Amino acid sequence: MRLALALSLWAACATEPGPADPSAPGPAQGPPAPGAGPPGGPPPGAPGGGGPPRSAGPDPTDRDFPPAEVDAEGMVRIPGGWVRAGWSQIGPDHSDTERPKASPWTLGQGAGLRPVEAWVAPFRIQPTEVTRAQYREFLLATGYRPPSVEEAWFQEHDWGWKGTDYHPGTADHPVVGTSWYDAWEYCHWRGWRLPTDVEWTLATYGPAEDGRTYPWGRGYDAGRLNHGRAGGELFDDSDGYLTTAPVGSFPRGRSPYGLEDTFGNVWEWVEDNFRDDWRLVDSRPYEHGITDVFAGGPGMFVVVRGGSYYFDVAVNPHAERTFFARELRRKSSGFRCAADP
Amino acid sequence: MIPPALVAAAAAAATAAAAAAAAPARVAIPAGRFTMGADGHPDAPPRQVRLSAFEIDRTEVSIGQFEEFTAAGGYRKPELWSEAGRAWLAQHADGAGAELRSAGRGPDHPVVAVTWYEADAYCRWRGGALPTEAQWEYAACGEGGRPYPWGDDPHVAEEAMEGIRHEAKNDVATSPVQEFRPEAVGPFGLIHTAGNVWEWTATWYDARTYTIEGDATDPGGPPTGTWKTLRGGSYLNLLSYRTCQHREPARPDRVAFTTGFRCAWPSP
Repeated sequence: MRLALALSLWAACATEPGPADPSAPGPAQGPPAPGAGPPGGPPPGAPGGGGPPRSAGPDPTDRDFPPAEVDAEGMVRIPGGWVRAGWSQIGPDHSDTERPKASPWTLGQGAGLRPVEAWVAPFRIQPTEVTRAQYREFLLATGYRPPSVEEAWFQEHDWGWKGTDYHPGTADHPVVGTSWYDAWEYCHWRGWRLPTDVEWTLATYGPAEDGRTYPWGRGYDAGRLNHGRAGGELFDDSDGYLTTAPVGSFPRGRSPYGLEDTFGNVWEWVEDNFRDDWRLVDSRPYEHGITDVFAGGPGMFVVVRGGSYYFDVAVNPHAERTFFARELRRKSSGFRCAADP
Repeated sequence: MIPPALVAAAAAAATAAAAAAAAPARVAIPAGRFTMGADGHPDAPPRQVRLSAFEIDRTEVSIGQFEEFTAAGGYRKPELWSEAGRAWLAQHADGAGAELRSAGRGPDHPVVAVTWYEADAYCRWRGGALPTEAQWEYAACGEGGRPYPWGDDPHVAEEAMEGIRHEAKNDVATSPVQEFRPEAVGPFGLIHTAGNVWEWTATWYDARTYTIEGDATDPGGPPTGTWKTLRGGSYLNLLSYRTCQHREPARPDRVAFTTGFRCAWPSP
């Protein structure tokens, strides 16, 4: 049923003008996906790979990946690869051309981006989320504003800062309370940048043909990430951490490239605006799909990835990709930086 | 059937708007001294500041007002632009464009999606300048020590000002610049200094400024920097961002749907 739906969606999509190249051939040239999925990759809706949106437990393909090998700057190199860009709440009765064009300041119709195969060029990325000790160096060097929110709900936990000092004992925890602007400024101060949406996808799931639903494979395993709960009180300490955990505390949650905590711990800002209209996303045709996918320019909402200690991806792993308003500082919003090769 | 309470509220707002329209567009702020900043902020400790008299816009600059500037060829008059502004202009001939500046709203709403360079040029076109941070804080809130322009009560911000739009999704949720609730006006009569849109100031941002400058007369902030300072919070922000004292860094080329400005002038 799922396969049939996916194929019909894909067939519907293939007849629509593509975001960059209406004449591009279908995805049949792509490497076959293991398991369920249309030729060329995972079914629509899967940010990283195939497999069911929810898994009852471990899967034979699940792996424990080794730590990342990093360069002199502490970055791990990611080779180029194909990912599935976009996500689909979009149905066969929706196409970009039928809808009113979304605007940069709204979320449009909320119907999603029709999934497309996208090539991601090689890049580098930090294997861990930026820590409070690292962020403090930036504050001391620049006089930038600390990532603190004065509201009591922020100050009463260990996320609050006193001037340029984070809470004692949390040096290796990911910095939270960062806006997208804050994250951007830190990365650029380091001579780096934020990862793009598709770069984050590739670094977390590996290439689409591997068909992962989680960084480690296809089976959900609550022991592999610092997660929250679904509904009610979202905090959860069954994984050993009520809020943030020191970066790298869940080695069995590593991605194929050795990235730590891509799922869970803190939401991670990426560079892209959150768009649900391909006409507001830059890309160019490349082989059987597109490349240079990037949703830049002015916008209210930015893509965040990976879930957090305050979120439960077990309900729907694809919900790890959502949006926050660009300027808001949340108790669960952090980031990692990327760089060109 | 419209609830009577809403009718009354609308009538009150209309009355207030009419009063604002009749009031002078500029407010004269007398020379004075005030406590700038407050404890509990990243830039603490607060300091004593003396200011010369000046004038400032009663309201945020509206879309209609700003487009008068564009219609008058403001983007083609280099004499109105700072040196850095001219360099920016060479790459962005029309800024973000009228569509993004209005973002689906009417001409009486505050202009947004303008960079610091454009705000600066607009104020020069009107013979003024962006207010310094110190001018902004004094004009908005008076002698100091209070978290909001009207005093201490956060409920005024919650109920009479723009509500928290933490999860705003589908619009740029500003109020018209002239529309206000009387209880939310500051001591000098300025409108929307708490919320609505962030406002550009002339001053470079540094979290350490209050410590470095200390008590001062007509403080101008760091001579240069990477970020200009935004004040006042927006319709999108939490209460703590909409206080008299909150300071926010922003690169001068930021284009945001939450950010506008008002202008100031030296006392005549």
